[in-house]
Amino acid sequence: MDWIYSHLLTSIIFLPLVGMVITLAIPSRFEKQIRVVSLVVSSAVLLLVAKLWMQFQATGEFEFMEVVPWIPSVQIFYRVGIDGVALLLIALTAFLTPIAILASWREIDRNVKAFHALMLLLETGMLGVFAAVDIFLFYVFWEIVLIPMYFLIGVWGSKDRIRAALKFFIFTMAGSVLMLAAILYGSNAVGGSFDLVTWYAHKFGLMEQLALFGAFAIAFAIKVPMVPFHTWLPDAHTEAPTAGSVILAGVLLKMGTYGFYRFAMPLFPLAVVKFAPLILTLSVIGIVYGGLVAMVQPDVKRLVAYSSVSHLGFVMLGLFSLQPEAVQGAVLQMVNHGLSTGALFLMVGMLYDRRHTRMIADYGGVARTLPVLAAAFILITFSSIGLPGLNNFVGEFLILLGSFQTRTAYAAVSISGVFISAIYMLWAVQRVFFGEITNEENQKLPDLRVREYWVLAPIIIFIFAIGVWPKPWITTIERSTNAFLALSKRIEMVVPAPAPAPVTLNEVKSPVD
Amino acid sequence: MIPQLQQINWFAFFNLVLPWIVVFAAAVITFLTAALTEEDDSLFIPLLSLAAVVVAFGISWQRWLSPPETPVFGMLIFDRLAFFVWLIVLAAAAVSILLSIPYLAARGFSKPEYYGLLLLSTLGMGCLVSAGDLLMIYLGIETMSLAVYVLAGFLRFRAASNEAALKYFLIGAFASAFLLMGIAFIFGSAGTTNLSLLAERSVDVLNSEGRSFYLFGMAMLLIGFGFKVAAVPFHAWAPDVYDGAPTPVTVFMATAVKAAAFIAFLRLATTTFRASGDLWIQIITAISIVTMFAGNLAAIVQENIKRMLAYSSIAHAGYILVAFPAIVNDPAGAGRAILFYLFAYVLMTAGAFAIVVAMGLGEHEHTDINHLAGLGKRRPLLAAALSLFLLSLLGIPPTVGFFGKYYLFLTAVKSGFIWLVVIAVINSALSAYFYLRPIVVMYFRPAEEHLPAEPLNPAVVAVLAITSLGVTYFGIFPSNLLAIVARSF
Repeated sequence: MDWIYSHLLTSIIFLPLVGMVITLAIPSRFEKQIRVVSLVVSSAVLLLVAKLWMQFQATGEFEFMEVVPWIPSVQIFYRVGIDGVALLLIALTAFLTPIAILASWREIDRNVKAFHALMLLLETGMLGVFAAVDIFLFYVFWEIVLIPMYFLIGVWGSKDRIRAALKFFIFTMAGSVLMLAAILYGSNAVGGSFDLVTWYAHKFGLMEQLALFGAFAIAFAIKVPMVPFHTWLPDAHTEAPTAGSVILAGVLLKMGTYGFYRFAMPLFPLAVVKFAPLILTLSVIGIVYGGLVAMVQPDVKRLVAYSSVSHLGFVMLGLFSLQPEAVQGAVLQMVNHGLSTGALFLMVGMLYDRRHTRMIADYGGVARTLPVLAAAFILITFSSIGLPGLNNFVGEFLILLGSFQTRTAYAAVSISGVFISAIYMLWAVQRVFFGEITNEENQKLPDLRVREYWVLAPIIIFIFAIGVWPKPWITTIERSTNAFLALSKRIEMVVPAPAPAPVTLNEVKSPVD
Repeated sequence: MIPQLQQINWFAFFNLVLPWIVVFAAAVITFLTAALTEEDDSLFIPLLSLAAVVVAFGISWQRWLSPPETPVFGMLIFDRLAFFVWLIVLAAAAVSILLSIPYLAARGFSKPEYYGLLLLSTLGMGCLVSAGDLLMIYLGIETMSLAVYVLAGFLRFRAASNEAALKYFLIGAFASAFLLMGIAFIFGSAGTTNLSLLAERSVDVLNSEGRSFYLFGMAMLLIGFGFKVAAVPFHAWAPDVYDGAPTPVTVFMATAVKAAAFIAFLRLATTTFRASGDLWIQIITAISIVTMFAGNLAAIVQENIKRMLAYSSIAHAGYILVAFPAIVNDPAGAGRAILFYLFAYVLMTAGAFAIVVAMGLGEHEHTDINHLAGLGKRRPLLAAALSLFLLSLLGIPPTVGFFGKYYLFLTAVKSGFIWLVVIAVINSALSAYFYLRPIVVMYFRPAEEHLPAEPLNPAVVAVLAITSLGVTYFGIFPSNLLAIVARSF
């Protein structure tokens, strides 16, 4: 126990892995026991994260640092630590995993053992990504996440799962190998080290920054996903089982935005200045385009998937506005999106469980037969479209508030995204839940079961908690985002580049301040 | 400085070559038994061969731990590098023997001479890994190859096996001619075939009128080795031969033969080729790039898992070649990266082929990828192991394949070959497509026909246990292996 408390972060990361080994050791015919064990283990992780939260100081530095030599001859260390943002995302991961496992209780009825083993492996990978302060370690966890998700989609997905799984894998892999090349180059440039803090301190030349940022940014942009790298997302989200969609939307997409927050932007501030117009444009396109495409989807799960493209566009807008409120909003929005979209996917799963269809046209009027589910769905819809008093409002408001100060034009266009999201979500709700019951099969449907209450209630509690009283969340991340801004807005380190036109201070400064 | 014959301490010499002698003795006993007995399917010969290889492995490990103070004995070099690769070769030979036992038994063709040939080929590799002279390299390659030509066609009742043997023999003989020609030209221009003397003289020779002859000789050697390691454009034989040969022989060719040939190539590169600098870098870079692309792109369209692995092994030769240009600046770093990768490559390739052997023990040999359908359900452990090896070949952490690739590319980046590494990582991404296909078939698709689950053969289980443990252990904790590699080169 003492060891666990003194190595809290390591225990949190690897406890799911222990759970996976236990799960694998149970004979596969004990399905119930396997489910219970993985639920218990993932809940234990959540408890440990709660303890972590309690001890967290919010200094803005990396806390709970643990450094162990891993492959010392090539300067690779097991180096983990968290700042406020990482803590928030770790909490999100630890929170959504048991919910996803609970949500799969009935849906997953074959290969139960493998499913839960993979879920726990996935949790270790995701926690590791957010906790790694060593770039090599980060890459290892980043790639580890890929495998279980690939299997989750491919084995337990719906009809078109094979293509979706392959697309997901190839897209992510294509991005991450470029990141690997960039990591190799960068570590060579900083003298072989993979320590993030050493990298932060290193002054990369302008051309180096542009190339390295490009490589990192492509990897992260694919994961976020940003237009035009988003095409894997609707397929993967739609074909994945409910738990897979929840984790994909809830956590995996945040790995992309977190990558920008932790690596691409603070490491290469000059490139941020150069690339900001491009990325902001793509974000705004994503906001509007994602919303418009969501509007015309006949498949409710695909609709939610496209809404992610739009929501994540806001997060990117916030990050690249390089303005304190906007960045805080962006980070908060990462969590908010995880909660709201996670809940939407959970409820789409519940609908599918009852009717075995995801087509909006097959529903209609089910609010009469499923009043509680309908009420919950409407509540989450309000959250998703940013109704004041609920979580998304806080995040989107902060992002727009901040970005209007530095990036007025982009912010102005992206406001339309808020309207579009209201249109497509409310229209979908109207078609699914209201009106006359036109389809006989919708006459008799069982409303929420006890287990499903347990799945949704925690999320709804947090949706209200963040919406009504955002202060503690902001306080947790404030210093960290300030440190991020200080790093990402460094422009004094302009090294005269060899060939291209030198970037003068004025030129660089004007768009930022 | 080459010690003269009278200076050699013969006792020390025989003590050093003891592992070679053990292998040779076992080969002789095997052939004698084959001539004297009629009984074919006794386990005595395979177990004897295995025991000889294991004993040789143990002695070689001792020799690696305490290498001789003066490693050069005439044309042979007994340094740690030689012992390390010899260990890899012996391990690969042991794997091939283990896999051969059930494979040949299933076909009712367990002939003792099979194992004798395998041991002789291993002995040839033993000469190759410690060759300090171009002629010794040639001798080693010939001894190794001649035995493998016969092995490739060992299943003489199968047309594909005969075709493989003939193809391999013709192309191999062709390549040997190139090698010999190259050796002759180099001897003509530099006046020696000794590698360390060549290293000393090469700069002078390149500045003299013998330059063009020397370069021509180098080009011939490069072509010869290109054939042996199956680098594009000298690779065309590999898929047919790998496919047609008995699978345990394919394992042997894809692992031991490749490792031994690469190490001789490495010795040649660090001594003879290094001096020619830019020219050599450009050629090797070009070969590396086309080898990676050709291997990966061709592997995508394969329906047969043996052919797919053959193209994958071509692609891996391309990855290894990525580190070769770095030899000019950083011979130690590049050599270590190549050694590490060879070890990793042998481990994962042997494992992947072991599963092909396991699939082919029943009435039919299932080499079509679609025959893997439903394996995830029928044989969960086998499917999991194959997935592990494929992911390792693809280079996903935490497997040894990832770290090996990482280390190779790091060496290239350190020496400034960034674009080469970018091309290599793009190739890694390309390879995802075909490495994932068997996984898709095994897990994502239901089995078309219900095949009974035959019990796994203990020999296959042993090979799979060792290789999968190695792939994961050295993937998560590569430090020990790195230390061994660093002391070897």
